[in-house]
Amino acid sequence: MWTWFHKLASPPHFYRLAGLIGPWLLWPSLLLLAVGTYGGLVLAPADYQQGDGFRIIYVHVPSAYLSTTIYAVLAVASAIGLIWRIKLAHAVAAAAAPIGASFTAVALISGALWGKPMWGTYWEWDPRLTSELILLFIYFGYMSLRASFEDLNQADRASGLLAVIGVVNLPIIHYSGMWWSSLHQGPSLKTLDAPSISGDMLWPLLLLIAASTLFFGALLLSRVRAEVLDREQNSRWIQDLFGDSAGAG
Amino acid sequence: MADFLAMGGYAEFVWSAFGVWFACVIFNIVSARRRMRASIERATVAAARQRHRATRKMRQRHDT
Amino acid sequence: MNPGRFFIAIVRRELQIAFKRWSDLLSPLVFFVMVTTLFPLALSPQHAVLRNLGPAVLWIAALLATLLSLNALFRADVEDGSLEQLVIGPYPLPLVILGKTAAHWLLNGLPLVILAPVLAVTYYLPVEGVRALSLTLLLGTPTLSLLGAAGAALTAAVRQSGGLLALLVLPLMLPVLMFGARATDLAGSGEPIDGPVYLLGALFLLALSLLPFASAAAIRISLD
Repeated sequence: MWTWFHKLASPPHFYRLAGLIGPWLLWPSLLLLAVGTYGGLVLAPADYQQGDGFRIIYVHVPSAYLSTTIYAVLAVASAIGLIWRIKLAHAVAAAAAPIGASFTAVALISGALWGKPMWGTYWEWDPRLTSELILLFIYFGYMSLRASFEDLNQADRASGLLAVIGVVNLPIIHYSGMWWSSLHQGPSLKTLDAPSISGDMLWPLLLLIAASTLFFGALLLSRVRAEVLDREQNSRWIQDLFGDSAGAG
Repeated sequence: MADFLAMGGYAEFVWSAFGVWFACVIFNIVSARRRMRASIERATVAAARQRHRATRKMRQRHDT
Repeated sequence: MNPGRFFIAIVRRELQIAFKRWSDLLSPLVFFVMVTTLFPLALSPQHAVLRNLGPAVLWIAALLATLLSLNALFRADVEDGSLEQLVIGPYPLPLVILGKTAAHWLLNGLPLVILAPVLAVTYYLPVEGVRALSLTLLLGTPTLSLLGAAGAALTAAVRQSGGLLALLVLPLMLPVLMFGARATDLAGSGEPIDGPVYLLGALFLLALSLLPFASAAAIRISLD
């Protein structure tokens, strides 16, 4: 088990393996995304309360799910990298950040687009929307901190520490938001979950969640490969791999 | 078809939400590709530089 | 020297250095006063408007004033190498950080706590509101200093870190702001504020027990 793990974490082996697996994740995920979208837009019946407007759930829920899942991946990878000093784990965290930030932005935009017809307003200071916004800020903070170091090793550890602090902070912000909004007796909002979701509405959603997870996996593998290349530039196996293509001159 | 496009009166919201989602999917694929290509380029340059240094060292040893 | 003495020595050294450059010391306080006086001039001097906005304005101004004073927290020590001395010294680094944070609070947090009631009167806050503002600032500003120290430690090696520091630290400070401003607001309308005050206390204890260690780790990374 441990020898297998070490072999996986060794950069050249990971680079080769990720290159092999990547396409096998990407194409199925795109196919499933297409099927799920078709199911959500065409096959699923309209909601009896929200009409066709509820179909925004098929992009809002997968992107919101990805935004938090990716942050969890980022934070766990950072913790592993800090504790056991595994460079590959830091590479995973660095690779996950931009993907997570982009899907957090999509979750916010689709939430606003859903809020307008259902609540009558694009933005409501609802605790979940607020924590999603803060999550986006934390992603931005993580990426800016990483970018502000020239030394890659320093950038890895400083931003990793920030990611771990963020994990403690996120639930605090979430529950503060719940408490805070429970004090403001604003307009009583329907939550953005489709009420009593039925089977033929549910399967496209589950399919899209699965597909987006696979899609994230494919993107992550590709970006970690790039990170590994940047980190290992001066090592022997990179020279063996890329030395020939440079020509003799 | 027109019915489908109208989305029961919610056309602008539903289609812009799906539009943003697919723009994000495409953007992620393109930017991951571009990132990979940039890293390969850097690695190639680094490998060439390394070899250049190695041959020069060998030549110096040969000269002396 | 036992750790308690050492802690006091650190605080005293920080205070001595700070008092030599008293203009740096004053600028966050002047900022606090100026921001709070800008709002009535920009909005309208109606009593009802100011009384509603007062708690939020005073708390936000206190938050920004704290942020303004953070940049210099570790900069000079990193540049003249004295932080490196402390890292390799015999005392635990979290204790050093805690000493510096305590000094930061004495120089920046405490003056805000003292100044805020005066400014609250210009916002026509009722007596209960003023009392709640003092209490929540007293409980909240140490947490802000601890969070700020962690942010400053993470960016100690980064040049031009002003905007970055705000981006890192503001999301972390958000719960303190929410509880503090909300409690002041509630007290002003005569409602009990036990809940948010206890939560502020809990946040302070949580920050006090975890953040000095995180800041110490961040300083070690920055000095590499």
